[in-house]
Amino acid sequence: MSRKVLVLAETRDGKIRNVTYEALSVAQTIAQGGEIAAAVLGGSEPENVSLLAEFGAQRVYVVNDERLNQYTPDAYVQAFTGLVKEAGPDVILLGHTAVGRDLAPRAASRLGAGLISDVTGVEPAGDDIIFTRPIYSGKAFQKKRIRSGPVFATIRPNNIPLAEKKAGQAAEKIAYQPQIRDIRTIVKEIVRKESSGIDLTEAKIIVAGGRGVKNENGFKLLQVLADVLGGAVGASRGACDAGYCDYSLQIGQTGKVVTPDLYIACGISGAIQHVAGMSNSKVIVAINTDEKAPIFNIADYGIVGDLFASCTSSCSTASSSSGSAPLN
Amino acid sequence: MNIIVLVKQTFDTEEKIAIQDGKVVEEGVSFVVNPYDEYAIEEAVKIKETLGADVTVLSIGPARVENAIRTALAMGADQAVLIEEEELPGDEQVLAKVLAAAIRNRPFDLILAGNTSVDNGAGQVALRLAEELNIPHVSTAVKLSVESGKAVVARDVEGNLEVIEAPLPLLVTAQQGLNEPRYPSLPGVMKAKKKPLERVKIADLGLSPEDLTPRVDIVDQYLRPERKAGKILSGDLAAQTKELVQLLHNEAKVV
Amino acid sequence: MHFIMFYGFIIIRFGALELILKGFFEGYEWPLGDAHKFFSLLQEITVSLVLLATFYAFYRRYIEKLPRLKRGLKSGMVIIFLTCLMISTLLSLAFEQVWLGHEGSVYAPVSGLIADAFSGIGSTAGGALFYVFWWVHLLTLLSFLVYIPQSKHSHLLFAPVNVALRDTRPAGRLSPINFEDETTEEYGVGKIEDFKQNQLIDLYACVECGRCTSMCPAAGTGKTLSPMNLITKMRDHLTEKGAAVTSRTAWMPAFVFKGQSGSADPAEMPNLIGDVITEEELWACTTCRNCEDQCPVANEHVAKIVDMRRYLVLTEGSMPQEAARYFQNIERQSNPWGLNRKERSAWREGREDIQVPTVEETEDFEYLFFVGSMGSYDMRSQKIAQSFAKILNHAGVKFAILGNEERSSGDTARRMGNEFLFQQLCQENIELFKAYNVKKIVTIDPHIYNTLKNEYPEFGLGAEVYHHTELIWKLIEEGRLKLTKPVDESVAYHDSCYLGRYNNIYDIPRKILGAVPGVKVLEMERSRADSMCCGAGGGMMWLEEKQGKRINIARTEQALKLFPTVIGTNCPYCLTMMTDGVKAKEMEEQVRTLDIAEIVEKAI
Repeated sequence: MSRKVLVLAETRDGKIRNVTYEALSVAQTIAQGGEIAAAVLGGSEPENVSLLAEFGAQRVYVVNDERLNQYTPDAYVQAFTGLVKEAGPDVILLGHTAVGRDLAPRAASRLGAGLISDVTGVEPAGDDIIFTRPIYSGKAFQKKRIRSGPVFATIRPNNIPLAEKKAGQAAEKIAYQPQIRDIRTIVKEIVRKESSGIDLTEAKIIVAGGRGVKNENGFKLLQVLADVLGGAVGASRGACDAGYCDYSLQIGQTGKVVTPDLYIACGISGAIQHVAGMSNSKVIVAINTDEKAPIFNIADYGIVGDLFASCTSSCSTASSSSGSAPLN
Repeated sequence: MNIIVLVKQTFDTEEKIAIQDGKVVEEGVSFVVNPYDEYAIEEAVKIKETLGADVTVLSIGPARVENAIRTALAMGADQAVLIEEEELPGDEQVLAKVLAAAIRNRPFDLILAGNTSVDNGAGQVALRLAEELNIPHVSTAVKLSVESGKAVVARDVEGNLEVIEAPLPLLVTAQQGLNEPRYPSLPGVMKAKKKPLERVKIADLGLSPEDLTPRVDIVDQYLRPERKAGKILSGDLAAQTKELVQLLHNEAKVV
Repeated sequence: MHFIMFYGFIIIRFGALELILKGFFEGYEWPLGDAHKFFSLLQEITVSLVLLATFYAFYRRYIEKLPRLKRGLKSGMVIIFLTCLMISTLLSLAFEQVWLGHEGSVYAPVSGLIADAFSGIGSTAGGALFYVFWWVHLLTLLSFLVYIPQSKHSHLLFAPVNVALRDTRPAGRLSPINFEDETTEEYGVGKIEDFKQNQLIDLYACVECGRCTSMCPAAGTGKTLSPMNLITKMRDHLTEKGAAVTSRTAWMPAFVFKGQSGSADPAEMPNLIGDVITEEELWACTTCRNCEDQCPVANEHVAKIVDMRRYLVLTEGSMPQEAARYFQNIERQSNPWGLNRKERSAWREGREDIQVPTVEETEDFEYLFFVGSMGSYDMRSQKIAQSFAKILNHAGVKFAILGNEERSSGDTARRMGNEFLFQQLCQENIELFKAYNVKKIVTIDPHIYNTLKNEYPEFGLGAEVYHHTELIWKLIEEGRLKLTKPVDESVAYHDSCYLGRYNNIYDIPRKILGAVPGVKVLEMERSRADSMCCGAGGGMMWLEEKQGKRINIARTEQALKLFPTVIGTNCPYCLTMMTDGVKAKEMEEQVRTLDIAEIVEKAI
């Protein structure tokens, strides 16, 4: 069954975020001959259109309006739903990012559409599309489908395999003029936190520290390793409570839930509350001096030893051997 | 000032999940107030203490939800409304319409809610509610201050902090770090038993069959497959890290 | 010194009275007839001894400079008073002899010697000098009398009362709160006047000797908490508040103490909790009772701290965040970490060679093994439970555990001030015990032991309660447990607070260690009743130590001074604390930390 798919192409600092390519990859599996379109809201680099085309976009709506340069719910909801009404897609996909999480529910209500959030798997099944998503912090999963109306879903970053990139594709570029009436919330200020710039929930590689890291300097070491591997730094609650790092790094039941390809747990014992936040990582490595730490029960690879020595050693080994480019 | 706090009762995050016939088993489970909603309740009570406000807790679910509501009342809320239904409505859109119908005729300046629930984890309902009520919202708040008709909210956006100014009435969802929810004092718990709890049924809310028709179906629910055992590396530390990097590159293919 | 002071004063009273009368009635003597000379002799010896004792007190306070003793003027006042009193007594007696021309007598040795030295000055001069020193004595005595109730010397009046009225119940047993009245607005003690009367007498019985603070683990590691200051601050606050409430000054004569006389408005008085006693101090206490054990006038510091904690927790809902989380976890999952309660008995699977049935699985058991949250969930403490199970299996003892139904005993909740949660847990546990017909309980945790044995009976528990060391020793004595394999270790034995000071069990663990071949027991400098707390009691296991040095590190250092190969403990908290301490000192290779059960298991 062919479906027209519209993907919200999210950008950061002008560059297309990885989750957009993942959404386009999903579009490719479900469009089945229908048109795949991407929408870029706010200013972005001109080459983005061809980049989007390389992942399957046949049409790119460029929605330019000064008021879209900074995300606000009102501006984006009005612009996006306006575009949806005009373009009339059967399927609408966004990344389950800060923007996606904020925009999709309101947009869905405005369109009278059902919305399936935080999707980790998509399979077309006859006339339906079955979406898989985690529940109870990933202890269980549910499969859902949209019964009627447009299919609206947000895709969890890092879970969908990317389709093959087709170089040299082109897409039709259409300018869309949004109707934005009033914007009720005003962004007064943005305070950027000093971090590696890689968002924890999107990172493909995470190096996380627990109480075993012992102090703030220990976390600096983890940052070095994360930089070498092209990843982000996370932490267990114990480390945040102890003041070794900021709470925005906390991963766990009451912190962030992450699904990286690689999760390196340093000096983390593996208490259930932390594990719930990272157990869906594809590969888990544990480094801990205590061989009986529960983290080893869920780790794919384990080193029983001093995390500082291991990290330093890993840094030198990793940077000298593979030298793979950091992923975004 | 009138504040409405949306509260959901969820499993304690520690509970093991059991699924039977595609449904999550509730027997023998310890229920709590959704941790993110606790931040919302605490914030409402703090505003009440500093600026003066009337705080109403709103929830939906079976009779057991009363426990969660009483906890919120013990923390300092003034009264509560429970839309008592054995099963929660089919999808987030219906839920939002139901809540909107319950709220529409009540006075409110601020609606507070947690930004997601620890069971379903979709984070849709509160924002959809704002759309149904046609009021602005600010999500993932880590700081909130209210002054004469407007609010200033700091929100956590993927590591950055955005400071937003918005007019009232406003809906705000709470992120971890907004505050430290208080442990209810014993006199608080005792008083909570006597605070007013209004029970309502969805049928009384005047919604159309169209409003109540879900757009989304659950096709199946199942537990996460068990992870297979891992490998503990051996040898001296340098050898181990070398092996690790190789394994990660060749076997796991993650670096 | 105090012995002489105490009894000496009783004796001297009579002589002092006689001396006063001598000033009014020339040459007065008690009508004792011939026996009077013995009276005089007794007086002189006593007075001289007291004088010497005073000099010794001076030496201890100002020359040896004991850290627990203060050196200010107030502390010195008494020494001045006493010295004046004693010397003026002797001199008065001496000059009376000169004045009245009495001959020197062997029954008045000291005054006689002085009299002889001055015999040449003549009767009139003698009389004059007699009156000089008579006045000195009288004025000193009378001003001392005025001063006593207004200084720490009120202990002369209050201490005997305090000791006489002391609680004869098991040490440290806390009083329950009645929760039946749902309209109560306040629980615990938030104002000084809410303490019970005998608790307030403590405040005036305190002699400021400083022994409590010198042994307190919190004070000893740099925390703000000092038991003595706790008492004296509350005493001063009570006095001030009393003056404010009664609109009368506490100090007499008022003109002397003008600066201190508070005719303050009672409503403006500082708050007991927050101003007089800070929350920081209240949350630093490990409830080890070293202070109470040391106190010569039977003061009870711990119950006051718990009463104030009760006010914070129950009335205000105010407590450190970790404490709130602790309570929440216990409420939801019956254990401090909030781990799934259905995992509580999973520790049994940690070893294949032990048989641990639950009460559901067997009805035939003599002892209920109450494992506790530590033994059930903490990875290191699980090994104690496993070792003990092995010992019981080996000795053929029939036992069972409650399994997943076991709830926290509530001891820590009670000590942190959450009396409501404690009573809830207590009732639930007692119901369980009754339902399974439990007659004897044994536990590996002294905190559980203490609360089950000494506090639960008040709520209806009828079973006998044993600590695992008591049971192990019984098995050894009965020959059911033979310790044959040598365990060649030097064991620095650490007495836990709740087994030691709370329940006086010091010898049994030592006897057990003595029965293990190859074990050499090393006694720490602070052992038995003087043992220093490991730092985990009173809820401190779950709270962060924010000031000074960590208590467990201080205690570990004391153990390591003995160069042991093993640090022996009888409590899972101590085990955890000492293990962490050894790790912090980076001595894990050289020194292991083991529970008595684990040591015994090695020998069977």
